[in-house]
Parts: sequence; structure tokens; C-alpha cells
Amino acid sequence: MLKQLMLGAAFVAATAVSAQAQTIIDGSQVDEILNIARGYGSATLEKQSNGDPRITGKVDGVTYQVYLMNCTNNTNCEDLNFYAGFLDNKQTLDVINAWNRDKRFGKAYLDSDLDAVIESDVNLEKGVTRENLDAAFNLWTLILEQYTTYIGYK
Amino acid sequence: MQKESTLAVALLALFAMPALAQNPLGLDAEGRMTVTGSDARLIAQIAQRVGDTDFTEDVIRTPHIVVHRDNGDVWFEGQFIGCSGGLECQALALVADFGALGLTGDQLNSFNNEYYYVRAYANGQGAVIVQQDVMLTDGVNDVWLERAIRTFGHMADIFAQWSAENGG
Repeated sequence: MLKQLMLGAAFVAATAVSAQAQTIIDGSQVDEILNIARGYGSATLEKQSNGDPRITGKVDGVTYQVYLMNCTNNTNCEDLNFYAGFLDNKQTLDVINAWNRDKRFGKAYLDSDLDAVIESDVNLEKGVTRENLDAAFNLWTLILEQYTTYIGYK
Repeated sequence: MQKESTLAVALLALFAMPALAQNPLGLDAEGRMTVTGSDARLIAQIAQRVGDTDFTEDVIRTPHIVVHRDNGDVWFEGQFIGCSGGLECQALALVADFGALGLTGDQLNSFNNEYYYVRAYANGQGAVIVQQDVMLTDGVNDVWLERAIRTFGHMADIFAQWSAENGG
């Protein structure tokens, strides 16, 4: 899908929620973040090895993680790292580079096992509106859908 | 910005700070302005806080900004995406063009693995690009956007240093 198509879908999603009442969510409100994730599929709250929160979700059969990063006392977290790694999905660097060149918002790379990965980051410092965060999850589902198709995972 | 140690200063994100309690001047309760994809000239003024910024429009009024370093060199550009007659732009692509570098695809992949927010790629015309896309559709406040633009410049500098250390 071309950049404009992806942006078009994201635009619709973003504007669709823009008129709703604004509630501020920051990186301390993990339950709220989890609730938003559950609007797009199953999602459970877990802990990273350092004790910081992590959400593992599934959208249309694709498992992903949301790492809450840069946390203080495992609670007040400043960043969200959306991550999906595809075990044994081997792509060439040219294919990965083409994604990064031609698509918006998602960043593709090969991990240390040369498996395909897609990421997207959201800054939560000082909070964002619930609508913004919901739009971020919506955009993430679009990125996942397109990337899994792109790499032949689905 | 290295993943393990630099998220503390990672300020880029796709979405904006809230537009709380808007008053008629478009300021929120903390005095921040909300800007949208129809405010390209205002966005250029915000970028001016980061570095000397040129604002242009092409024949179909699509806006474009160029941010300069203190010495006048081009630092990075802002390409407005998905505009209609120069308005309602859906995103701002912050782009730093490093030209031809002696980096391999494997090295660019390592950078993308190691750092957050920005992505590096070869553009097919012999240049290495570092890019971050900022969504504008829901509005962003000026303070957040200034930090996003400033941090992108910082990330471009980090890439330049990383590239030099890796033979680029």
C-alpha cells in the first residue's frame, strides 16, 4: 500500500475521534493503556525483566508487545515502544530498506537473529489525550496489517 | 538516541499533547497553541525556534520547510504530506539527507535496531536518509512540536556521529 493510502486510513481514524471529550493519559496509567489496547484485540499486562510494564496483545492473529519505557519505579513511564517480531521470517535488507523508504510511521529492521521486526514509538511525557493514544493504537494496527502482508506473514 | 540509555530524552512521538480548555485565541490552559496540518506557516515559525527556517510552497501550494544550522548549512527539511491546496496536511516528515555515505545496508539496519523514533534508509539515489514522521491530523501543541523538531535535529546529529564512527 502506498504512503498516501496508509496516511488516508490513519487520517480517518484520527479525525473520527477528535471530537470526543479529552481525557489525559500518561505513562503511569497502565490500566488505561491496557484498556485502549483491548479495544483492538486481546491484551494482557505483563512485566519486563526489569519490572517495567509490558502489554502483550494480539490483533487479527498477530502478536505484538507494547513496552513501557523509561519508567520511574516501574510506574511513571515516558515512552511506549510498539514492537512486533516475526520469528523465522527472513527478509533481505533490500526489502527492509524499501519499507523504511516507502512507508510512513513504522520502522522495520532485522533483529540479531535476522528475523523481521516492526516498531513504532510514542512519547507519553506529560501525557496525551485518550483520543491521541487510541489513534496511535489504531495506526499501529494498520502498520501491523500492512507489514505482515509486506513480509508475507499473512 | 540509543535505546538502552537515551529514552529519557526521547521526545518524538506520533501524537500531540492535549488541547485542554481551548480559549478563543487557541491557547490551552497552560498557554500552548494547538497547530494542525493547516498551519504550515505557523509550524515554520515553531521550527524557527530550533534553527533558521525557510518556508516555501510549490505550484500546488504544498508547504516545505528547511531548517538551518547556526552556520547556515542545511540541517534538515520538513516535508508536509497529504495536503490539499496547502491545507489539512496529514503529517510532517522530518528528513535529514546525508548524501552518499560508505555505509552498508547491514549498518543502517543496525542503527534502526539500536535507536528509537527515527529510521535510516538508502533512498535509491545514492543517499542515506534519516526520517521521522509526525502526524498532524489531530493537532499538536507548539511546545511539543518544538521539542519534536529539536529532538529530530539532535537525532540527525547522533546519526552523523554514529555514521562517522562506523566508516560513513
